[in-house]
Amino acid sequence: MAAMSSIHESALAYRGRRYLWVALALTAASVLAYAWHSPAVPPNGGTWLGYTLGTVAALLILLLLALGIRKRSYHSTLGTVSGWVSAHVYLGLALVVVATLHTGFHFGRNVHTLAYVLMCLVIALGIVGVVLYARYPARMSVNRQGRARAQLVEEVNDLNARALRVAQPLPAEFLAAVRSARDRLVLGGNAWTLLTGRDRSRVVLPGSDGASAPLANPFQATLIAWLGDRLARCQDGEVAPRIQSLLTLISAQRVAIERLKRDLAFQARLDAWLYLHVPLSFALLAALLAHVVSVFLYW
Amino acid sequence: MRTLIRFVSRATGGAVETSERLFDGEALTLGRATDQVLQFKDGRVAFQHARIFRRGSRVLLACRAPATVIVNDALVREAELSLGDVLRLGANVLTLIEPPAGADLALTFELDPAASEAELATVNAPLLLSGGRLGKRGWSWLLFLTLLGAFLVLPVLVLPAKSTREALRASWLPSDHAYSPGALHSVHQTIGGRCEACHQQAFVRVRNEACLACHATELHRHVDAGSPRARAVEQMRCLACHSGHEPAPLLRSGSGGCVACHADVSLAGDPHRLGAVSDFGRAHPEFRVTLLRPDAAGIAGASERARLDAPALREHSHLKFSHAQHLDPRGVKTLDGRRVLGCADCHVPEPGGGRMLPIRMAAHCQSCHRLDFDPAFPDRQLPHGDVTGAVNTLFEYYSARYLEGWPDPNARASAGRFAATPGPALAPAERERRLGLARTRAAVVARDLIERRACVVCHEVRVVADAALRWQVTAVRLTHAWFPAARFDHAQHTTTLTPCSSCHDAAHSTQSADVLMPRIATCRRCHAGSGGAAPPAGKVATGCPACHAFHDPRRAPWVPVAQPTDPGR
Repeated sequence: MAAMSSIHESALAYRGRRYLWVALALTAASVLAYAWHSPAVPPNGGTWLGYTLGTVAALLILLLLALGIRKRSYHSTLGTVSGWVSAHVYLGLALVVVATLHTGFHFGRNVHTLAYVLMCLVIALGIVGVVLYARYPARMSVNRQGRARAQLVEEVNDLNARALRVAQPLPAEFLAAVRSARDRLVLGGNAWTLLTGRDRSRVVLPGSDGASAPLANPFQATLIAWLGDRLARCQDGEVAPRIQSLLTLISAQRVAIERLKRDLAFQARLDAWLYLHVPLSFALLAALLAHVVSVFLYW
Repeated sequence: MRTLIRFVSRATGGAVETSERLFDGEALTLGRATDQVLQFKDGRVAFQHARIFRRGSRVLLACRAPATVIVNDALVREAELSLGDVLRLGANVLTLIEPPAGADLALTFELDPAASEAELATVNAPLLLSGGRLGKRGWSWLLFLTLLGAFLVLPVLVLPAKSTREALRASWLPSDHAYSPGALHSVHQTIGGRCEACHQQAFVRVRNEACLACHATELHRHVDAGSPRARAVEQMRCLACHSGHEPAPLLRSGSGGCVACHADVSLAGDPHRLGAVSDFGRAHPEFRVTLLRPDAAGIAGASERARLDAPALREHSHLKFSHAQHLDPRGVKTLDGRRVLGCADCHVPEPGGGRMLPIRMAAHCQSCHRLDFDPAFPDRQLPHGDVTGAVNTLFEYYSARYLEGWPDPNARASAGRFAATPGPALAPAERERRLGLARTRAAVVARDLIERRACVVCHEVRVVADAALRWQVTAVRLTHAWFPAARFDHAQHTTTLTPCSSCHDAAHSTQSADVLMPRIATCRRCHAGSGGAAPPAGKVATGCPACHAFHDPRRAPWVPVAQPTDPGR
């Protein structure tokens, strides 16, 4: 796990944490300037220091947004993407301090505070992202055991195929149960299902009256319980080992489904994070534009 | 163990192609890893999945847990294999066949055509999160354009026309009101939400004309029009000192704007002898009080300004007075016994709390310093402030008394001589005699009061022998406004921690000429300047506007002049 996460640690530790020191220097300079500055009015964005901090903060925001361009520019030699990510993280954290000092701690129901709140939201999400990307890729690798996601899906499907084959010689109700579980197996799902890693699969088990309503079958639990029940009641020396085999296969499939669901949940959380971080960044850009233009429009 | 593997591939037309390979080794290893004898390219197969080996004549299959193989439709971990057995790993099918000569084991290897199609479950729900039709880019654009449109484009587009501007402001949609950094100060609330009242031109800072539109009459110049600095002062922005929106105060408390010019007054000469000022705590001249100046005759009239540290500083009030005597802790003698006086017995703040009301003889002195003259009528007092009137009053009083037949105290020595009460009209000669007595009596009493008993106690009295009126009593001229141009509020300064005596050393003053105004050092005990970093602990940061007014009401009204389009702040 440590080896897998080294890729992501290395972005933060880029060149001896160069950008950590840059960010700390920027933060310290801003705080010292703010402490030293004693304007005639309460500190705000309109003093010379306020304009300076505001300009620095706005340029920082543009620089942080530029990561989205740089990481797609595969031919660019303007620094490495790793360096950009490192700068993105550390300068993003420094931005909180610079922008907060720019406000002079004045907040209100206006476009200026809207930009500030959006900025804080994006940065807070950024911190979440750093944590996610420090943990999940390694966990995903461990979970996948070197396989691609398609192979995880294929494993589940293969176990379906094998279970069907093993069920062939068994009484018809076994084939019906396995086939029903396969037909009603749901690997993906909506956002909530994906994020939580829940399994909404169902199964129709042959009842005494012939047919029954679909039952929830998360991670094949219902099917496994049914097979176990059948195995316990089986008196036939030839059939019992086959039921045992079927149970083994479905249990293996349970592990495979759990693994796939975990993988999908990891991926969904990473995706969800980007879905919040990136569009909110652009919302911030709009609010920032409105803030800057309005301040000078009504100078 | 020598193993032959026959690879079988079936083309769609039904043609079968085979190729064979021989492997040598202890066991036939099956798996996805590169070190396996038979390497599978199938994710469902483990890296080291299983091995096939001989034990004596038996051919055995052993899987590496947890992998399993389907042998003849049975799921197994271990099995003894015989000819014709079919092994399935993922979609791969291995069949044991009769080994040819020279081989210990033979297998065919082919892909299960059915496995990859019908038997595979379909993925019936999306495996990956999606943002609906929009995607990240779409959501980004949507949010960006929505916010930009709502908070910038729309409010700016409606600005030029009053009707659309007001309609947007009245609606629930964001308007330019969202640009307000804070509420207007209470004095400006009547402007309401009309941003354009002050922000008259886009991208141009608020100009003085906007302020003077309402404040044309009451704002006065800082320096006169002819002053060498007049033009520079006229070009100052109102907003250099004032601000429109909270939380900035209506008037800035700092000294920066003032010090910019007053730190070096030599630039404009120093016609008013102001002296250089850069910080109240560190660089501010000693205070100058405005005093009444005695003229050639020695009478205080015109005013002069004098530094409080001038060596021979005296007030010319013509009053004889000792604060120390009146503030005697044992009290002063009054008709009702000894009474301890306090500052507030005489010094009463003006309504509003700024300066003190003038000291008046009648209100503050006369209860002790009485102007009565006849012990028989102690309530009868002379008028104050008019010597001629007082002398006349005495004459009139005694005339009335003598003419009424008042017993002549001077005649008391000769026994039996009493003025007739009430009797027939006096003879002219008797009237004259009595009036003569009254005149004499009045003169004696006047001299006693003026020169010995009353006036002279507080006033400078000169005896002018040949004049119609024998005495010249100099009127008291107390200084009312020591610092006429400074803002000071006694009400803000009177606390139990700061009694009068903390600034005015009256208890030790024996002369009325003593100037008891506090010097700057006294103020600096609590007040520091506002420049630089935070004031020293326990001191109040005090900027110029705390005491000084920029707009001088003694000067002409401020006249707007054309300002540069973009003056530097």
